[in-house]
Amino acid sequence: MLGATATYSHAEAIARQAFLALMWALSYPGRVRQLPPSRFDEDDFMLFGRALLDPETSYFCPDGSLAARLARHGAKSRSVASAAYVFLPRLDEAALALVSEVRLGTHALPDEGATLIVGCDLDAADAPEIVCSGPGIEGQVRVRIGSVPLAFWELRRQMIRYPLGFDAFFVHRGRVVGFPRTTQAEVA
Amino acid sequence: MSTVAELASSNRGYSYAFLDEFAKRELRRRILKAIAIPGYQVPYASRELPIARGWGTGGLQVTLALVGPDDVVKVIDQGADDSVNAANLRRFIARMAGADTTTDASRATLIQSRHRIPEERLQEHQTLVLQVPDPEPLRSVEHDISKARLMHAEADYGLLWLSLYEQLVRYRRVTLGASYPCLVHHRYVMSPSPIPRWDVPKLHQSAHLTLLSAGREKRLYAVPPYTDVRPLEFADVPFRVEDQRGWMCYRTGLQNKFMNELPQTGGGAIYEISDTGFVEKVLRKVPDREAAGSTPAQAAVGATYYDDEGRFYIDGYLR
Amino acid sequence: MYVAARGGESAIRNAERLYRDLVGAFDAETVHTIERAMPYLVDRVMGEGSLYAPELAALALAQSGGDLYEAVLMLRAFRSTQPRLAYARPVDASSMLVVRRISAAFKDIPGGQVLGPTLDYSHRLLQLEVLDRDAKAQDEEERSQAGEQEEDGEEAGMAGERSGVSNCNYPLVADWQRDAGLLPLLAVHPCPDASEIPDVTREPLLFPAPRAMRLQSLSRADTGGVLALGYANMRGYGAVHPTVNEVRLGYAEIEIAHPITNELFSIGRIRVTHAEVVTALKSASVGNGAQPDGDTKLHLELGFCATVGWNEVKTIAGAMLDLAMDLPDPHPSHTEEYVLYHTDPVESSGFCIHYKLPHYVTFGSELDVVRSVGEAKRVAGLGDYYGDGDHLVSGMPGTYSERPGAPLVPEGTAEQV
Repeated sequence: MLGATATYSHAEAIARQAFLALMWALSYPGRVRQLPPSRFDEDDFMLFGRALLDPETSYFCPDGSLAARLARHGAKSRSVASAAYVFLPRLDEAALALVSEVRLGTHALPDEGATLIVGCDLDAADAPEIVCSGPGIEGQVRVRIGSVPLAFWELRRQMIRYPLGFDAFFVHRGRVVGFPRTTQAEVA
Repeated sequence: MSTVAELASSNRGYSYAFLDEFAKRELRRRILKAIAIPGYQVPYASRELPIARGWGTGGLQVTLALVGPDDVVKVIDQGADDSVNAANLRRFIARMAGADTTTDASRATLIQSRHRIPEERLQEHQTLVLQVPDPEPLRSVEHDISKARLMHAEADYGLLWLSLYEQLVRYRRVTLGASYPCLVHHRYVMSPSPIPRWDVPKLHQSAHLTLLSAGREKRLYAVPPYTDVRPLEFADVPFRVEDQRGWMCYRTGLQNKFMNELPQTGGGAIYEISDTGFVEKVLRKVPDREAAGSTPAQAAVGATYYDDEGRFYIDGYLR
Repeated sequence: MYVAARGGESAIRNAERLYRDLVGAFDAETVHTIERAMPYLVDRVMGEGSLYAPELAALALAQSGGDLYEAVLMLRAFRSTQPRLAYARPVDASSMLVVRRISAAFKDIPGGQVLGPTLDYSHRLLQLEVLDRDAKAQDEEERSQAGEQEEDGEEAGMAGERSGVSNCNYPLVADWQRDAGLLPLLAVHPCPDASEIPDVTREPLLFPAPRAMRLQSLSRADTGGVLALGYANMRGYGAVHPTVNEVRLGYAEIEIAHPITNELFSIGRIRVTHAEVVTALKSASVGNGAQPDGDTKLHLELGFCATVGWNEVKTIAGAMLDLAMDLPDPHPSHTEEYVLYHTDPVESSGFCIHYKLPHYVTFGSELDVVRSVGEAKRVAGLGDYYGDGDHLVSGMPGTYSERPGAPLVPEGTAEQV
């Protein structure tokens, strides 16, 4: 019969908690979630890599050094137009052009739309306020997301034709905010 | 230097929460997409578990992908915590994940259920995992799951509406019992799993997260918190929950909670509230006649979806 | 009441104890006896369990008291927990160690027909005399017969690796047909990267299924289920009347690349079965083989099925289904979705026995509808639809409220199964 409870290793624990942070970030969009502290020497992006990537999926990252580190999780490296997970440590004008190419899924398989993991500044008091509404939000919620060009929000609005679209996580210093494709985001 | 034989037989024990890390990661990736597209059935690989298919393996896989030692798990079957199947799944989860268990819906962080949603209102950051025998709400009008998939892609629900209309013409009401189809976030028609119609409104604009998973059919889907869930209804023929007006629970004396009908020898029936965890809390609250005051303080019974008069907590949802 | 089966954990413990008392104790010796004495049964469990592990399959059989579906489930559940350490190289059927290979398409074939171990031409008479011998006499007799049997080569056991295996290579019948221009040549492409091959145990099955997933599904399908659907096809619910091109049983060498040196080495041999059926089809009736000059040409089309372990019935029926599924307008029971969804042993048996679980909540919801329909009709002066109470339950064939959208009443809409 089954043996005793298997050990809940640190690797197991942080992978699970990182996933839970993503799950709740997506369930309650626009709310800032705390990520678990990792005893391994890894940043937020690597932590998400740990939670999401393995040889059965694919990723894209324009940043060479991060891409090389993410490769350790064994996922297939693909072009931005065909990767399931797109890691953008910085969302500048060049990265914006990449965003415009990500997978949006098909009507038969909208879940093939990409997941974006985007670096941002959640502490910038002068950052524009994004007003969010939609599933997971009781009425409205507001969140400031710095270091993301305003043009991103317009691009996102144009690209998402629900149920087609992409889902995004904004990451900064151990915190994450989710923007599933269902979230209506307006710049205040 | 390890040999192939050593590598191949190293796993005499089992992984934490039974599933290996690949299986968990796959489920987790799918769960995120399910939340992003409410009511859309995400296909997944669906591993075999040491529980027979059709006995909750879909729900169990989702639970195992989520559960940790910090969780408090509740498992119910037909509303009951102590039915054999619920007990079996609960001991498996507890054993494989070292999680705490409870029968108290408000104390649970993770609730796996077959065919019921608790009577007490679930709160933010609680997760309800519903076991699903058949995820396809279009099955009755389209047997082929690949064709049904196209109908969902095109939001082509005409045949389903037509079948409801035919029932109306023939029987003067919609003759669907449990698994009443609902429109989620104004886009996908979803089977809420075989919960009674009484439980369907509980999914609408709920504070908690609901994940639904069919292991045999290999589909999982979600109702995120604060999401519109509308049972299919006609403007002039509203959706109706089960009519149990006048039924009183023989154990608690309460009315207007979902009841089991218990046939009696010689005819007639008595009734009991289906949600045993709720009954347990209500009965504990009632002071014991012989030893009044000796009962230890228990968690208060929380707010319920339906009040004692049977009014649903969101005004105007049930017409 | 039915929830008398309540009582949770103690009830579960008692039920399992009763089962163990009935089935009896077993030990490693029992397991090894099963493995030796019932190789075909072990092979069937391994094939359907999609895990080549004779000892574990025998253990599953011992533990389940010989309940095949339980044994397959145990093996599959164990398989779920196993890491994927490496990808093996594809097995080339022409280089496997053949113990038996026959073709019904030709009287003789290059390499020859090899009957090998089979009961095909034996008289299926129960050897009742075995029961009459006492154990001691039996032992002696077996010892004295052992030599003879080896000479006969008729022993069906799979110790055949010693006696039955022929080490020379047997070319595939299909390869001869390709060379003769009867079958299209196989596209020449490098051996695919195994990690890129779609895997039905790792990814969801969607339709139309990649060919790899179809063949994987057939390979792990329920023998009885594949036979039932395949037999329906053979009896005439299909437009094809195929011929067995080749059935081949043998041992395949499993090779993997060394993780560091990348050199190929063998990790052992497994028993495998491979079956191919062939039929003549009008070229225009098959999408890929369509000829530009009309529908007058015929060509040969193959159906294929392979599985781990030796299982001829499943692979022959599976190969026929593989062929039938590709026809332009297959019988509904031979469409890919129908065949692959309904022949998984774990899913079909699990769902069948799940009906034993209590369903009183769904049934209660159903009764509510039945009563209110009766009430509505009475109020409207249309009479009580259901008549008396007895009729109420027995008069609802085919109702199943777990199926979303299915009507609760037997007549009317298009939903009836």
